[in-house]
Amino acid sequence: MTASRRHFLRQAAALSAFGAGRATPLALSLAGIGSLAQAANTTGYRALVCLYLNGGSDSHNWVVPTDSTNYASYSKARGDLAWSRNNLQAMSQTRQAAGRSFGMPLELSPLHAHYQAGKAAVLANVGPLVRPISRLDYDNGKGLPPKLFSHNDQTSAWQSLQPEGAPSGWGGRMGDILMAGNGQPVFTAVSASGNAVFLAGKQAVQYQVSSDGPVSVRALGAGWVFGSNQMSSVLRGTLTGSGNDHYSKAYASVMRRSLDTTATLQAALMQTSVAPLSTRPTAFGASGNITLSNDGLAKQLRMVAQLIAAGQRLGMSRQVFMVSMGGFDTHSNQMRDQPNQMARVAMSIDFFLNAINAQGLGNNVTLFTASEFGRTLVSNGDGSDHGWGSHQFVAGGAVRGREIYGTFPVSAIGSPDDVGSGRLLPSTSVTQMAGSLAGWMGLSSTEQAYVLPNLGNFSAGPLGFI
Amino acid sequence: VPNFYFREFRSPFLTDQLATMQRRYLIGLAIATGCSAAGAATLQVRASASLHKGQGAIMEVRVNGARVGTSTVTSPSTTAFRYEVPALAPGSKVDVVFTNDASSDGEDRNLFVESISEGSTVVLAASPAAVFDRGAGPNAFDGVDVLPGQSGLYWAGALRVTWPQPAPLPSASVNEATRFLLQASFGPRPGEAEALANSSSPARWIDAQLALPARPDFVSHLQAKFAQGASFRPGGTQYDLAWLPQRFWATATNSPDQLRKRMAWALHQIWVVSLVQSDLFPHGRAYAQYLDTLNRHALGNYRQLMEDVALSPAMGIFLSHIRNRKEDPVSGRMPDENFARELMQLFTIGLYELKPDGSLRLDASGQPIETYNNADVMALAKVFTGYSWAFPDGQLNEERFRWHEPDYKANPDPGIDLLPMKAYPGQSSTAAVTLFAGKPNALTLPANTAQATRLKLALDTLFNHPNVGPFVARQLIQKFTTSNPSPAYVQRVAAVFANNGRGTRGDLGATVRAILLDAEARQTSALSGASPTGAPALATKLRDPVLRVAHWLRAFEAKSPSGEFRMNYEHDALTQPVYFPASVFSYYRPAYSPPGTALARFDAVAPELQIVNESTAAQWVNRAESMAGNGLGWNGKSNDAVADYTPLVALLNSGNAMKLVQRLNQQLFAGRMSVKLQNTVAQAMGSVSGNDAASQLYRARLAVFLALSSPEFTVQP
Repeated sequence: MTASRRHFLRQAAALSAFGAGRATPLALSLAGIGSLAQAANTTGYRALVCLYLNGGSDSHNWVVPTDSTNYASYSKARGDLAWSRNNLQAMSQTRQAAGRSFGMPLELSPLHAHYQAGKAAVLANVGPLVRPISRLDYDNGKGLPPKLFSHNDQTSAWQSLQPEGAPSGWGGRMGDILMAGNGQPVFTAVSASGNAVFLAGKQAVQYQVSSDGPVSVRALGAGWVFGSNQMSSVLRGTLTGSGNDHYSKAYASVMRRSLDTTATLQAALMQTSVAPLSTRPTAFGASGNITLSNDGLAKQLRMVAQLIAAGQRLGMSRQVFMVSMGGFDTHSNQMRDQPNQMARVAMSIDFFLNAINAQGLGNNVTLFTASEFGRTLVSNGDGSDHGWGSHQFVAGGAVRGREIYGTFPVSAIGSPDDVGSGRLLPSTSVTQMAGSLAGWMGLSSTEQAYVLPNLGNFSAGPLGFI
Repeated sequence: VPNFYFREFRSPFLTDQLATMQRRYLIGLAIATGCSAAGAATLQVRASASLHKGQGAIMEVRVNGARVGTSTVTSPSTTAFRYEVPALAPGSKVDVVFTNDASSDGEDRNLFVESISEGSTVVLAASPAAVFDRGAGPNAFDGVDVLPGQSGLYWAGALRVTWPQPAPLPSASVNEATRFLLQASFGPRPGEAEALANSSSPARWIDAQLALPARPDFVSHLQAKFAQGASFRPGGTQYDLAWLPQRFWATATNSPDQLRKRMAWALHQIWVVSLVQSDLFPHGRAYAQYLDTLNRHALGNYRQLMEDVALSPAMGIFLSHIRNRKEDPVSGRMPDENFARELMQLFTIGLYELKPDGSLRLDASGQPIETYNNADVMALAKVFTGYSWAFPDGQLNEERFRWHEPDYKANPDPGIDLLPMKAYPGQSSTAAVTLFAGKPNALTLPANTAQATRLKLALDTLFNHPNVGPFVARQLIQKFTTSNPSPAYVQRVAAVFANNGRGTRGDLGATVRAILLDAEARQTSALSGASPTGAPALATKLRDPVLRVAHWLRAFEAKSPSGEFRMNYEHDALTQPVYFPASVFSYYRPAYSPPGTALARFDAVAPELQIVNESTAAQWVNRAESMAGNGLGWNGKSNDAVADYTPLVALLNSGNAMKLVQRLNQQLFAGRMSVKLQNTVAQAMGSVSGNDAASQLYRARLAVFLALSSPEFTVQP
């Protein structure tokens, strides 16, 4: 496996020659990685799951200060967007400044339980950074990621650590290195929520599956189609052929991958047993009734749990997954919509962690949340606007939970972390967060430098949450 | 390259036949490359057999009574046999004679003939061009005991073919007209490309389209629904947002103002308002008004489009500037920035300053120059405060501003949702606003400027920004003709956007005319991949699922039994549900380049590929099977978008199956269907054995299925 991994690295180094004309921050690290002696540790099984909250989640309300000073300034700044204090469940933690305390809304109860059980942690005020910057740097426009506060640009910043239009993401680049150790390399980077740059690698292609599983071409399995019993062989030829142009060739390669993998994956999925999603309506706090069996995010996470189970039969050692949920761009009706969103996320994560534990893989799977940006602390009267840093969760048996990592900001307008209207200047970079996760996945420091182009700009060492 | 000939040479031939086969292959190669010897042709018979006492079926082939070859068919799977023959004129007699019928002890020797072909003629055994004359020896040719042509020869006898007319390739002019209509409309109906090629021109077609008036298609449709009673209005049990996409399909299929409709569909993907926003659910008619606004200005002026969409309640709800409250220094509340940001980023000027050809302007240090910063977003957000539903002027108070909604059950219907949002006195910010400080296009609005003036000047400033032309031109080009326009093409179109020739900026009719008539769009000679870099050299793009379905609906004159094209949510699986894009970023992004492909290596984009994946590709094949079969949609009794394949069956009945294939080649591919796919489709039809009308329809369906599901079809030629 090491041999084929090296083979990939040589290929990757050669491939980078094509990158001329496009910004290639990876080229240097690729050169370095070519001579690397220490290979990734791919023993056992590990999977990373990115739960992406589309739209920019208002995490000011997911982890809320409860000490009187900070609650007062939080409440003042948020106005109509503030949670009432008696809606917050206390969170244990030891790492934040003396006198500070925090809580999670009742709507997050299922996640709060995992947090208190030590199986989930919070990473405070994390966001895209090119290098550590100060408030002064921000005011002078120095060292900023391009196009802060813009959805698609900051989505790219989070998922690829590069400007919009980047061809690969850090999940996919991990896949580049880890795929050679997998029995079925095609299933290394799997999205249950459509095309996302996070899972695109330079070599690893993201495999996209619907939350109902892989889709079969009906006519290939049917004996007779339109009066012919020969369609199966004819169709296999026409579906994988293409015209003499790059568009239909690219289309045909996706089609070919679909035909080549569906049967394998379906067979492996048939042998898995993951508990069904509950059909019972459940509510937490003001969430209103949520029925997991109808919930899009829960369905995606159940599919990932099934894929992880199937992966054990397919000889997989390392996998990266992506699921997502939309609706977090709460410019309006935030207090109507956010309770429901929180409960959906918390219940879905709870289902997933339990499903993974039932497989005995609790310590082998880590889920983290991500979102393109946090939001303003101030209200626009009915919602909040695009921000920057945000608080995210990491969950799983390997996580050193019941703790808030990083530096939790002072929740007030005009605080040192406030770059305007309570938009947070991140104190921890996505790159650092990703570095800790990459280390857990077994990547050596040289390999991490390939996956995370600006890692060297930040002080060395993992953040300690895993 | 004649891969086709390679594929047919399977292994079961004896070694002493190999020399002959190789010679025949070379003939095949010569023909395929257009160097055939005078008078010589190669006849191909695709046949299989069942055996008796280990012996195969003897197949004798005659042309005009003279034997040209005899083969023993031994394989139960269809195999190609080739014979050198004289040139076959229409009317020539070709006989395939089965001479050694035998049956005993439960074994039955039969010959099965799928097709007989030469050049551009493919005759299916079960076709009107063939009869089966039963009888051994001379009785096979006596005209007695004659059955219709059929694939299974269960008795000794001759399958007798009267050679049909050839199937000429579609003409270059019709192909070009087809290609133009695939770009400019939702696809040509049968006969439209011929009419354009023979008696019009693209320029005249566009001018005729520009002269067609806009009609309130969507509002009138919802109005008619509402008129059926309270249960059909918002809150009622019959009320259904699916009426909106259904109306899209009905008008795309049947409306004469095709250019306007295609442009409105393109504009919807730029000026996105999506019904995924649940707050729009009760306001289906307001959404219809947004769609009619796109239609109304699709060939009109961009400045008017900007204003009318900005003030449409549907956009107000989607990007949350309806009821947007002014800043409040006491509480620190700031205006909602949602619409202000996307208006600049996505609808007008984009993130970075552009040259007239759409490429990035760079500063002295080689970096792109941002068009705006967050202070500009916050400033513009103030301009879009104070707007809400257009209640009567005397009622525009704070309570109505913040809380009141249209009453769709009121009688008479005040139609407040059909009006542009109004600025409520006292609710708009009156603060001084500066946009683009320090730039040539900077705008300062002093405090207390009238709200109407603030809106006008802000929109004028955006509209007159030099980015708008190249920014909009490039995206529209990508929607109509090519994913990868040259900078010069973008510049030519942007110049027309800047000035339509009569001094008007933002004329969308003139802009789309320039897009469609540009030499780069009309270029026909170069083949993709022929450029030195290997980059796509011909102006093409991928068809997204909506365009694939639309082109099919029109190519086969699909009818809706209910009249409403009730194709509700079946496009979800293809991830392009009409009017339900996932976000303001639409169904896919204009700059998407699929990683790891040749396209990415050449810095080319293929936006439509962003929603093509292992699942949606398989889903498309299944959808194509339905389209070729009983249709799409459901009206409670039957499918509700049903294609008419009887013209294809008529072509099959001519006796030459290749005529049907060439019709598909023209209608769906503008003549660019590969020879390999043409041959595969023609011969696959031979695998349907019956010779009744139902079997002919099956053959047509099978051909359509193979064509629609092929990767080639995903390219808009």
